[in-house]
Amino acid sequence: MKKLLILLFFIFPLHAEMLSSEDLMYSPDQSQVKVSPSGRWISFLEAQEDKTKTLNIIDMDSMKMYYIVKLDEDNDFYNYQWLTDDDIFISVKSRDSDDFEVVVNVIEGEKKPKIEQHRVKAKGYIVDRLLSDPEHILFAKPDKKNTLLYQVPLTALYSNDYSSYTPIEKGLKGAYSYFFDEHKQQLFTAKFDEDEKSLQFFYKVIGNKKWIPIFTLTDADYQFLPVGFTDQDHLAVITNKNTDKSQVSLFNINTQEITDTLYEHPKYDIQSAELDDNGKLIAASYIKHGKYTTDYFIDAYEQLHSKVAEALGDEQFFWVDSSIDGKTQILFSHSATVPGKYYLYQSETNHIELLFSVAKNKDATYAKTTFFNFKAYDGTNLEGYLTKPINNDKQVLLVMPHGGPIGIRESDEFSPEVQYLASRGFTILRVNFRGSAGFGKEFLESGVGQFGNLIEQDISAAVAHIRSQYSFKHTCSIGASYGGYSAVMLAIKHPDIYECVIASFGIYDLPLLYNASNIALTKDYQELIERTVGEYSQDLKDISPVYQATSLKAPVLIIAGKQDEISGFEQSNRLYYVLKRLGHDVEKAFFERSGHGHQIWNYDQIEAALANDFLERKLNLNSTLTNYTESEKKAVQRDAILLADTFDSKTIETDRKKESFDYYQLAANLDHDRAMFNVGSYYHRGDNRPIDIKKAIEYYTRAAELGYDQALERLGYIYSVSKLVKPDYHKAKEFFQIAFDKEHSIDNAFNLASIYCIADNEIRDVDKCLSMLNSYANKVDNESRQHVREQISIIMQEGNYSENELKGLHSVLAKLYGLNYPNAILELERKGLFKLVLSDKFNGEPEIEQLSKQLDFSYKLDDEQRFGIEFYMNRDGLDSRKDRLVVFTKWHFTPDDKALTDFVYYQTLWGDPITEWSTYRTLDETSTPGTWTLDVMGANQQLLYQNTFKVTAIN
Amino acid sequence: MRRLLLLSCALLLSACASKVTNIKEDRDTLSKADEGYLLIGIETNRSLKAIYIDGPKSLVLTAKDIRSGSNYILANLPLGDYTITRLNLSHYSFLKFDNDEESWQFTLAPNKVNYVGHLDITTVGYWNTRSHIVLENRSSEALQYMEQNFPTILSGRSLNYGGPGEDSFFDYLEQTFSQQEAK
Repeated sequence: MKKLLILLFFIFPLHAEMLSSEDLMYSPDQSQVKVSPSGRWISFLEAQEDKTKTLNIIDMDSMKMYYIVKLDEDNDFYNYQWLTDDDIFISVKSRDSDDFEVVVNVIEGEKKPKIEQHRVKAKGYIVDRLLSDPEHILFAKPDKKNTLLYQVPLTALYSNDYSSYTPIEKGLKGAYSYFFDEHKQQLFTAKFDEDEKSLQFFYKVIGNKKWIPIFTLTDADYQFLPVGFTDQDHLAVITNKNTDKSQVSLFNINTQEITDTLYEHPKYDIQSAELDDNGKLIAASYIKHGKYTTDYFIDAYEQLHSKVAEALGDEQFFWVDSSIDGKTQILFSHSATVPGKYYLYQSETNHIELLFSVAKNKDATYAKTTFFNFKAYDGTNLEGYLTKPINNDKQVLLVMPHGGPIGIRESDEFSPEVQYLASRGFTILRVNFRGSAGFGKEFLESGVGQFGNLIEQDISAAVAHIRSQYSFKHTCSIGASYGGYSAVMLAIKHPDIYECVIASFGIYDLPLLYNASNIALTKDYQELIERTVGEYSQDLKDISPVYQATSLKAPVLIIAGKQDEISGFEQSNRLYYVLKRLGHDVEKAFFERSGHGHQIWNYDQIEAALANDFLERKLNLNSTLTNYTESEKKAVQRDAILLADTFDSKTIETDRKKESFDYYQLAANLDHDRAMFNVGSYYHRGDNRPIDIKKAIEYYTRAAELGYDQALERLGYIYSVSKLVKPDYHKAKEFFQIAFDKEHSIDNAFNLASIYCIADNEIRDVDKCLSMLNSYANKVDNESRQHVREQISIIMQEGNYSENELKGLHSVLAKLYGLNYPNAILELERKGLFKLVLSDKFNGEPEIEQLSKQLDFSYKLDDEQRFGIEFYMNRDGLDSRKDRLVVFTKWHFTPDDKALTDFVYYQTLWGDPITEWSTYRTLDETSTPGTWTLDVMGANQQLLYQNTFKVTAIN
Repeated sequence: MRRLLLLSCALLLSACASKVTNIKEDRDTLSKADEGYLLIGIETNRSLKAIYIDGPKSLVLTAKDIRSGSNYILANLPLGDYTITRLNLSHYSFLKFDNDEESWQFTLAPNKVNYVGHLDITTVGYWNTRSHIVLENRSSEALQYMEQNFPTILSGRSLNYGGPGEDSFFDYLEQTFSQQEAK
């Protein structure tokens, strides 16, 4: 029996989980990992759960970690660096005030290190920390004409008075920042030439008079990236000026000529290179089969690399930082299946250990990507990448063209979007079509002007290659930017292959690129477009989806950012308009706050959820697992709540507002607390469905059980003051008590206190109510003010009080609003229907114009209308601006439609007898015709005013 | 006397430019043969004071037409070429449009609703203000605006693009959908 069980265990492998977008699309918590110069400390920045950010250090002896700097929500770190073995220079970004810098001194202590902080007052920047000179740093102070460079002690940073110091260098006139090579004692700078539009670099040895020009960068069509000095007269540079591929070349500074090739690769552009302190080439890197590959030329480095690679199981890695003696090193490993891991390597013991992983979900496994070669229809050799799902394969191929199309490339690196889709069973194909970067100039140029032509043919050749090896039930195209264009074009050209299209931030009208605005018409801009799309002609319409829309058969989802300045939002809006008018199956998601891509991760997660949802519906995949694992439940739940929020959102335009309920229901079925509450709200409000108070209460209760505190508040409100059910003060108190016990917040205290005051049975305890009100009255802040106004109004209007009890309440009102005259009368100024009229004058004040004195009217939306009363409050004796009077308003709405429910709105108003008071109501598209009764009550519970407004129609 | 009057008119340029009457009602009121409809979008993150436009008639858009947010102006004006010349940001600062390479011109053609572009103005700073201004082609948005607010005028006249550069979008729509409707 035992043997059989083991066999079964291996036949049915465990689910690889569906990954939640939250665990894929985020900024890592840890960043900027460094080693102190002596190797005593490891430091890094960390984002904490409570939204604060910290700078942490790890003691290399004890491996204990300490927080040494903590920034609150309003601040953030730019960067930091170790100036000495004990001092850290930190640059801070401040939201509410000026950015600033500090130096933190770490002092070893018995139990834990002590920290001393000093504000940096010196205006300028650190050029170099001069590690070989522990007493000084190199500091630059720019003034109007020049930049002065000082070699000063660290303490010079704490003041801006440099009169006692002599600069060691005067700087080059008109030059920008300065850099320093400590080993060679050489200073570097650059000067920008406005007319030539070039950046010229210079250097000099400190103490020498002249600045020697090294090289000049122009906006030319070749690459020129200096690596370092090989000797006094030569630089090693990465360039393709005279060759097809970028290679490491020797550049003679005196003749300004490229003289020799130090290293080249037959197939790939060199991406980076490294020299040792003597100017000898250590290594050169390129991207091979999508992976960053390094060739070493010095045995010692090669051996070190191999040792570490072996220890990491052949995962790709990069060196991050090192102690000066090289004995303590930080490296960062990441690849297509590793989001990122920081390791500590100690050369003396040859020991490697994991510091931390940046992955949110530590147990997740990620889909692998396979590299393959194939030939385009004209015989060109091309590369492609295929990512297959680990399991739950839906046999759906997603063809994903990259952006650009010129100068961008696909790599076999970690892609959150690919992993999101693969973990949902999709297969993703990516191609380095002609025009992609990394394969030389000729290959790059061959993509220019091939929009809708050879580029899509290349992609199609890859698709044919893959479809000949694997069988798929469906194929769709999905892409962003140029990829969006390509995705649509592929579907237009091959309607027999592509069953759906998802296009984001794309271009769909090529002639419009050249005519997008008056700035686009300028010579520089036109040249820029031509470099990628080719020469302008009306024939470009033949390869523009907007003009070929009738040939598109597949359903499309168009995603765009309204602030997109690269593609232009008009591109997406045009395509959507044309397809919609043709009666085509087209959907949209237009993000008000996004440009060419999203600025916040939440939107990336929404986009992923929209894509998945679109694929599910258009391909009729009907994927619903019956037994979700915990992580799968979390992933599906996350997608559902994101979609529900999106359809309900005012800043993301979709045509699916009516579906938000369905997705909240989906998420609620998976026990999402807020979704549960929202479903309750839909039944409570009767939003697109009949009002069902029983169901509302049921969902609110379940939400409260899941820990959603707003549900407790809502339930307390329903059982006390709402007109929806018979008041049940036991239940109301129970809910408010649970909330209060969880958190003694001001809102919770006022809620609970109100029950003690207004209950009409054994729950009533006015002393307790007053005691709570008194202890929390002084704590009321901006956040809680609105809620408190409401609760106080409820307490005053819905309770019955003796004279003494009323006095107690007056003292609370005095604390909150400065009440000193409880007896006052109301003098009406105007009543009826009004509207807000903006001034025609620039910066003029708006006015409130009376439309009707009748209390019976139809209300026009979109016209800034409001109805109510304007009045003055009068007290005995001479009025003064220092007087404080308080009144309580209650607007009670009874709808004409008996299937709907009543609503009551409570408010507290306070002020002086000199200024005019008002209370108005404004309506929105969810409002219905009905009767509004207004009660205004004074601090002695006297009814000051009452009237009824009848809204006969809303349009 | 006339010269003196002309001179004073030139000096008091602002007093001679007429305020644009923004059409509110969806009724086609164009009667003169030498007038056409102007449709221009103004997108600004801050309320502005005035925009001056030179042409067959000198025009000024005033504060109520150029409040912060999205504004459209539909007006009937004499046919011909117009140039945007000046933007008054506030009581204290203004900008002149004098860069010849950037064409701030548009053309009103007869019998059509001439959409001439969206003037997109982004202003930052308070003591020292800087504005980024561009005249953009947002034809599909302008068309959607007309369909929602002035369907009658739109049904009687076709839309024409009179802004920077050239664009066959409106012509394409006319061809594609009149064919469809004819079916």
